[in-house]
Amino acid sequence: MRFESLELTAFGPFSGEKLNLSGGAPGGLHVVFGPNEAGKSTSLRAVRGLLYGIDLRSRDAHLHPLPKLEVGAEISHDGVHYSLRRLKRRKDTLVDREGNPVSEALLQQLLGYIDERTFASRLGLDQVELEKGAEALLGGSEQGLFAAGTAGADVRRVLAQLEKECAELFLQKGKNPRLNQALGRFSEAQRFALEKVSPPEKWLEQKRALDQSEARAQLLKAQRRELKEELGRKARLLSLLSELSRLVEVEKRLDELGDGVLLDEDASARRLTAEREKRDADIELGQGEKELSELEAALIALGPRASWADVDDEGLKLGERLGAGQKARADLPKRKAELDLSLGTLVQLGRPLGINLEPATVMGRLEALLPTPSVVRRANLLIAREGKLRAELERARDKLVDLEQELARDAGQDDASQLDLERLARALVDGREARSEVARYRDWGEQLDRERKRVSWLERELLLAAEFVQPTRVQPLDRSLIARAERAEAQAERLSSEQVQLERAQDDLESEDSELALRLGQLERGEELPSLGKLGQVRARRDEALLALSSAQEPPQRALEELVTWIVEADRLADRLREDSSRVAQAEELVRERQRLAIKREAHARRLEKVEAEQIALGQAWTREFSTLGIVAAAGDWVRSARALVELEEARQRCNGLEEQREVLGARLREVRIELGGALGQAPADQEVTLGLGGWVEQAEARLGQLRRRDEQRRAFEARRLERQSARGSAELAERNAANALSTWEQEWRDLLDSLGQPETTTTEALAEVLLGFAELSRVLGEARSLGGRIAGIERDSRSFTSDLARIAERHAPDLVGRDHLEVAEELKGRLARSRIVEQERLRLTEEIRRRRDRSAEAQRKQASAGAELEALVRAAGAVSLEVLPELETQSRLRRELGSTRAELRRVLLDKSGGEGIESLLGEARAVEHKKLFASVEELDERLEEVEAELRQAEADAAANALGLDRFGSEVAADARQAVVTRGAEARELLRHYLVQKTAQTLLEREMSSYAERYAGPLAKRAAELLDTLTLGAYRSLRVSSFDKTIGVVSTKTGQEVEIEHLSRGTRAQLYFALRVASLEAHFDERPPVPLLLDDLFVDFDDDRTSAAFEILGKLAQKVQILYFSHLARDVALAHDAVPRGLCFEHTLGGG
Amino acid sequence: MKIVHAADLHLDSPLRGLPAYEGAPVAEVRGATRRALVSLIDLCFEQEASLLLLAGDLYDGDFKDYSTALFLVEQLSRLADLGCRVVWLRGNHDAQSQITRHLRLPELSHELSTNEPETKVFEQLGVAVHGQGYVTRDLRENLALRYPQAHAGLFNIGLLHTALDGRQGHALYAPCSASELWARGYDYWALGHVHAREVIEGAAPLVFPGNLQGRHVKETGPKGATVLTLENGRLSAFEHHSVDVVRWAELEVDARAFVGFGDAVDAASRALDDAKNGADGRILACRIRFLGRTRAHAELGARQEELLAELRRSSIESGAYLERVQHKTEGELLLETLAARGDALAGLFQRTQQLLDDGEALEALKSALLEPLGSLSTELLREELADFRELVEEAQQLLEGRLLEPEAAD
Repeated sequence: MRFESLELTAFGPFSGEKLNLSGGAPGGLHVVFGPNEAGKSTSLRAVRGLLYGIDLRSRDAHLHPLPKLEVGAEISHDGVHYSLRRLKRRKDTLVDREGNPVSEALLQQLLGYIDERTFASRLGLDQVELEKGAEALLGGSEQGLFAAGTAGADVRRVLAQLEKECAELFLQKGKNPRLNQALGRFSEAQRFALEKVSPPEKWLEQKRALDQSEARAQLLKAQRRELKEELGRKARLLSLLSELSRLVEVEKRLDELGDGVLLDEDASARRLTAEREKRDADIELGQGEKELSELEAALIALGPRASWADVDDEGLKLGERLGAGQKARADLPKRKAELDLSLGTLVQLGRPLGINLEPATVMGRLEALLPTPSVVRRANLLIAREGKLRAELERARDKLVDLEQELARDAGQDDASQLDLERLARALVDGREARSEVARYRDWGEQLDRERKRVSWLERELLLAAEFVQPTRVQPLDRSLIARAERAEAQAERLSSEQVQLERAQDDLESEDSELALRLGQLERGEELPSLGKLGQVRARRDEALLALSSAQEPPQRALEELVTWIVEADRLADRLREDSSRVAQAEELVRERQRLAIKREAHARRLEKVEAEQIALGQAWTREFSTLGIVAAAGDWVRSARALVELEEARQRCNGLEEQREVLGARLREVRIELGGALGQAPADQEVTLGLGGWVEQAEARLGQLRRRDEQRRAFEARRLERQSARGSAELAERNAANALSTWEQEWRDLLDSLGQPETTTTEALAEVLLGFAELSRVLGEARSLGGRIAGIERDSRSFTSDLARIAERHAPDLVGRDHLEVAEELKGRLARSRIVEQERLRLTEEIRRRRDRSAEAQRKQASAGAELEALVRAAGAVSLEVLPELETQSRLRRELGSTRAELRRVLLDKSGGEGIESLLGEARAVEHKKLFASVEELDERLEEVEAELRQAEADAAANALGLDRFGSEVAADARQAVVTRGAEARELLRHYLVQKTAQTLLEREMSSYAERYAGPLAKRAAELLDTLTLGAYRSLRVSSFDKTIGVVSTKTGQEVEIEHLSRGTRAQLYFALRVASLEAHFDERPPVPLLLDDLFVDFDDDRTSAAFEILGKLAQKVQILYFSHLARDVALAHDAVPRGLCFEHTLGGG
Repeated sequence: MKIVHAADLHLDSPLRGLPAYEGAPVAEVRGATRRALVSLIDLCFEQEASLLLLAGDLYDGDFKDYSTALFLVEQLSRLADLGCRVVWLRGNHDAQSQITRHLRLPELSHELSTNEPETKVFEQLGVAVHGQGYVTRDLRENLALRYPQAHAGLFNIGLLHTALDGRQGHALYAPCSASELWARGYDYWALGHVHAREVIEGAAPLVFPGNLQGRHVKETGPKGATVLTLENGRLSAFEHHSVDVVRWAELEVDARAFVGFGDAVDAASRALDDAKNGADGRILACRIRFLGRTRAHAELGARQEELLAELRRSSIESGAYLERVQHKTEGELLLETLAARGDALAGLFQRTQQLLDDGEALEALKSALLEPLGSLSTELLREELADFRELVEEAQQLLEGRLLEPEAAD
């Protein structure tokens, strides 16, 4: 494939830029010159965009918006021309010149199925790639060659990465890599699991041990019990010996005391208490008599009780009433003066209101002349309502006048006329609907044009016979045509490939046969062969000579030499014959091989004939098939033709469908135009369907709007008029209501004035003044009444106090009768206070005497009681007198104490005897020796300790054995087993990962080695030639060692081989370029060429080396199209010099 | 009346293939077979079962730890409170087990003879259980032929550890045919040995209840026991009850619509969540397998380790245990198309493809790989190299990823 032209329709800074790349076919070196910023890189991206699609986020949308980006090209391949365009959109981005979508598969096929990345790296080369390639060479011959073969340096990186990852996973003797660690954990888990397994035998063993230790513990426990019993018994006896001896002694002393009266325990205390109480009572009685006589004397000294004692001071309230009487005597004249003043004021206030009274009578008569509170309230209400009622009437009348005026104005307005809008509205709805259809109508028209063009194009492409062009009706087409054509093409391809294989095999067989024939000829051309007869003759002569020699007495020297000669000759002949038999065998083998080859060739030839016949038959069948459909399709192009034919039929059907739809829509649009014209009162003048429809609709819309606005105004006016009429009715009613209310008020007013005795002409303001006067009169009258009440009260109290005092004085103080009542009160108050103090002293002394007499009576009672107690005690002890009683009490106490000690000892002994009984213990104690008993107890104690130690040991053993047995119930072993599997899985996962990495590494290394072995020779040879040219003869040959994986070049100057790492970076880049070109040459030897895109490759080359490089590219350009993008004008000139005329072309970006 | 039929307890058998990784529910998985047994006994209580039938393989034959037996005894002893009896026989694993030899099961348990078919009659229940255990592990004799005819008037159950006439993945021990079993005239055949639940309908149901707890990724789905309901001495129903604590699943994720790495993570995470939701609150142990021709093929190949780590994170969030991620996708770039380019890479993949079809070459490559790995555990190596072809395919995918889509690997 090659580009015939490249069109930067809208891309980056370019608009309609076109490069003619047709020169130099089938190859040609096109140097595309663009100084910096001229868009060199952009055009490179454009080429890639064309071939593989424009990047969705392309940065080349600065002049043209992203959706408008477009690149086009004319491409030729195997004599067929394709005109392609690449658009920036989501779907169907590849189209032909007419905009029909083109399958991406077609472009892929043209590009030899090379994906974008490979295209960029394999068929494109820039400085960066060159550098990377040069670096890859350092990785060894395999990597270098492989990198050149894959057109990228990734192999080296991938291989290094795989190696690194493998080493990180596992090292033979490593500890830290992940797999090594995981394996360590796995082994540890295995070891642990093994340790933790407890087989049944171990369990049984453990169980037996437990049983034994438990049995021993039981035995020891029995022994311990017996020992403890014995020890207990003896130790008890030993511990009770002291109590037993004390018991014996107590009983002896009790016997000595003998029998006697056992007094009560408290007898002594009771005696002492009774004696003390008797003594105390005697003293108290003496003291009482003396105190009583003193108190009685004091009481007599107070004298008889006074009559004042009966006066009720509380009821009299003498002090309080004395103060009130004194205050009233001062206030009374003041209050009387105030009352006179108020009466005068009343007389004065009454006069303006028509009330003329004297001060003496004013209070009694005024009451009846004042208006009642309800009349005053009513008058105030009527006064307040008058203004409101008059204002309401005023407002109603004003409003009525306003409304009458407005209605009069409205009556002058013109009523809007009614228009019929309906027809216009209906027409407009239709018109709008039709207007939206216009675009569709036009689209269909455009679509129809496109489809018609597509039909014409397809008809031209298919070279349809006349009768099939524009058929009157579309022929039904067999839809399986494409599938069948695909199958046929596949069959043809298979046959073709088989043919090629057969031809190659035939060539191989022929060359093999020629070689065999050559070798046979060589064998046949060998020297003349000795015969067996000749060998027999020589051998006979040898034997004769030997015979002669053996019969001779003295063999002559000559005979000996002759014998030797014949022997040698015979051997030589025999050898020759042996050799010859091998040569004959070889020749025979070759002849047989040639015969086999001949048979094979014949079979191949037959198969070839058959394949060719099949191809012809297939071609003819399909030619016939297509000719009946009216087209001539080239063999191998049937699918394309079939597809085109099917597409043609579909396009024709689409055309027909579109025409029909469009006609129906057109008729509808015409109808609508007429309807609109009618509604507007105009008739359309032309027949064009879509012409002016939009204008008609707009006109109708404007007219309809105008009519609707006027109609709205008319409706609003009517509504307002109705509203005002209704308001006038309401205003009239309000006016009537207000007038009625005022009339009612006026009647009530007259009634009121009448009731108040005011003239009918009295205004509300005047009546309000009168009411204020009445209110003031009423207030002053109230004050005068209050003063009259207070004066009467003072006088009443004074009279009552005087009468009470006179009564008291007559009874208790006749000396005060006749004196001023306030002076009497003062004197009585003093006398009453003094008599109170004397009476209180009298009460105190009487109480004291009563208490003293009670205490003396109590002392007498105690004295008697103590005497009786002492007599009873003497009687109880059987004593002759009180004096012997203490001795008897002492004996009784001793007897009681010894009895108690004996009882306590017996109780203790019984408790400790262990049920043996005190008598038995006493008997035992008497029978045993203390020392022996002590020794026996010690001995038993030691034995018990021994048994207990043994028991503890046995119990510890049993516990340990039980614990051991419990361990069998744990899940440790099972868990450990699970851990082994888990760790194993972990290790396996890493191991698998390692194995996958390692396998990938091995496969890649092997492939590189194999590639190097396969291509090292030829590639190295060609690369050496190119390197010689590129380095201007500095390095002339190239050695690729598959043994130690190195590449070396031979320096022309020194004749020495130079290892690659010792080359300069520039030379390494040249070497990589040489290898890449050699690899590409080899590639294009076997495959159809695809254009190369080179981007400023030789920037770092000097002029001579750049010329040399162009010379190399010039040779490659004979076969392969090369687009060389450069920003150096030097490159253009050097390319022209180095590349033959007719192969080198110059293009300037942005320069036309 | 209820009878519970279980088999293949494989008590204390480990769950295989689950690697330890950070956050993995290792502790939850531990002791799964024990907890499944506890659930089985709980099931007997729930169902108020009168009889528990165990059709062999109580433990793994090669495991000798006696705590396994003690645990079994402890659990079966619980049934005394219920009055539920146990009838069991030895399977191929029990035959060689040292544990079985020393096992003393509780009073209400009865082991059927290994010398000849034995019948255990439960008059009160109206049930007769016929069966014979394995005397040796590799028992190839048709035991069923010697089983007695059914006892009239009783519900007859045949207890047998067998692979019938062959079941995939199971050795053909005690072979017999379904018709031979039916010929005995029993009402129900309680079988063991096959770890997947299977019911063969016929004159009487032949039932493999499957094992109690799946132990690896080939033992997926619900695992448990079969509960038989007898009414008036006749089988009215039998149904499966799950008792497993870890549920195994193989999740196949369709990768066809994937564009990149993120799609794989999303789709697999969704599949994990769905599967976890379907596991009834159990721990889900699963393998994820990506399938289909996809654009993301090379990227997935190049980022295998990263994807595994990502999915493990997802599995931890979902409460699942990820056993492994398998890549069975194909690239959109067909090898044929690649071959048409005719460059060195095309050669690499063409030759790898040829290698996959060449057994001898594969063996040679395997030997070459093994040579420097002498120090590694042969057991692990053997397991990993068992399917060497698959391993080479993975390597090829890795190379596709690294060489054709180097950006993905960066």
